[in-house]
Amino acid sequence: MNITPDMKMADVLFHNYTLLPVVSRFNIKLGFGDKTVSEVCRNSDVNLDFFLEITNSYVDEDYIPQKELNTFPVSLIVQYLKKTHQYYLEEKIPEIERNIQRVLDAEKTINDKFSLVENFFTEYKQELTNHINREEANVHPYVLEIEAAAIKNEINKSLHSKIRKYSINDFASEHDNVEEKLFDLKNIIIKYLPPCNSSGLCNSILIELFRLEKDLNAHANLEDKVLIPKVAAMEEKLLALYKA
Amino acid sequence: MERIKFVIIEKSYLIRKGIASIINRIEHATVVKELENLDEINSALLKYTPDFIVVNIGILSDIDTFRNTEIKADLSQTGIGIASGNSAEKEKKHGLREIISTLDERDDIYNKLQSLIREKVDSRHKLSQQTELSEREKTILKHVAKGLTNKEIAEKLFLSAHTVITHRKNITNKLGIKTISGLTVYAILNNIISIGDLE
Repeated sequence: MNITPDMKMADVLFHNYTLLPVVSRFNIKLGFGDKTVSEVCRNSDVNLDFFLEITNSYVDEDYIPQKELNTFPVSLIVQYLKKTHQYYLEEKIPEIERNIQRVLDAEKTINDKFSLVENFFTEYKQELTNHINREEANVHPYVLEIEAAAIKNEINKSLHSKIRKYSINDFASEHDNVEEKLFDLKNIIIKYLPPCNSSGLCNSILIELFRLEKDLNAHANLEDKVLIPKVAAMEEKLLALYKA
Repeated sequence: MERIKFVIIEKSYLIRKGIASIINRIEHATVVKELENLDEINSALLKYTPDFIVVNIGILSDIDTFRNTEIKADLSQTGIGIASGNSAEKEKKHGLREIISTLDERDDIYNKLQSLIREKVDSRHKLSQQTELSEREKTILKHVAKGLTNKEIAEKLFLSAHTVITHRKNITNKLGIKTISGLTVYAILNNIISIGDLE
């Protein structure tokens, strides 16, 4: 079922609770009463079409983005991606870390084994942080620069050599999957760790890992299916302009 | 056991959803991706590594987009064609493994799909019974955990790099662990290596 402007925002969340963090990323706060999606977006100063595209593709992997998605400014997408990064580093990762620490405190007997999970996760966190930093330091400024040039319809020598040196497709090909490690971690906890008595804690670690994985996939989809093609098209246009 | 994965390439929404719901009902089978056309086929195949590809015969004749000869060769093993309507097309195999017609009876469709899935499951079973690592694989895992490259391991054990790569693939398949850090954790948990060895 697609999310539409006339639906009540509360109903949207009743049907898809996984959207909760996504909605927060738009700075939309709970307490909607009977307001519709479009009313809530208007009140919170959120671009309605963008909200619909993001939420629909989040709940339905087969959802085909409407053409309008291409009319959103790159800056809006970048802003959303940044919010998502923040959510990973400031909420999700620390939450999982805390639970891992709790298991370590509770399980003295398998403590040494479980500390391997801790190390593994620390490594993962570092990898994810590097990945995010690289995107925010290099890729985001680059795509914003491309967009600004495309709007003005002019390209100078330095931007031309930048595109030649490192285009968005290079980024796409380097776009390593940070999901692999996450998958291994779930596998290790489910299959290979010695039985853990704090099963409640272990379960919540696993559930958070599954959710993080889903969110990362949606995040990667937004980059691969929307941002990259959009920027690639602008690059092409700019290069043609430079030649002329 | 990991499920048998299907990718469906079919323009018609009705047919696509229909075939997907049939496949998803069959034990051990799952549809991992639905595509409307051939545009994203290459990336979809890389990402999902499907066991079977269900493809409309009509799209198949769009041969130019199928320039990738590797995919074409694979289709004789992995391809299931959808022939629509009463065309004589369903009589031909089109270089595919199996053909399903939109006019087929319920039992026909299930029988065709089930026998393909059964065959796949049986061959998987033979493989998956061996989840224990062999001694050779344990040795290789130990070196991987120590951070040696394939080339270094090959030199140390007097093997070809190719053999080392094959062993590593088998280890990953058996354990379901892809990354080096994950393999290292496994090796320590199973006393194949001690933390001291890693220093």
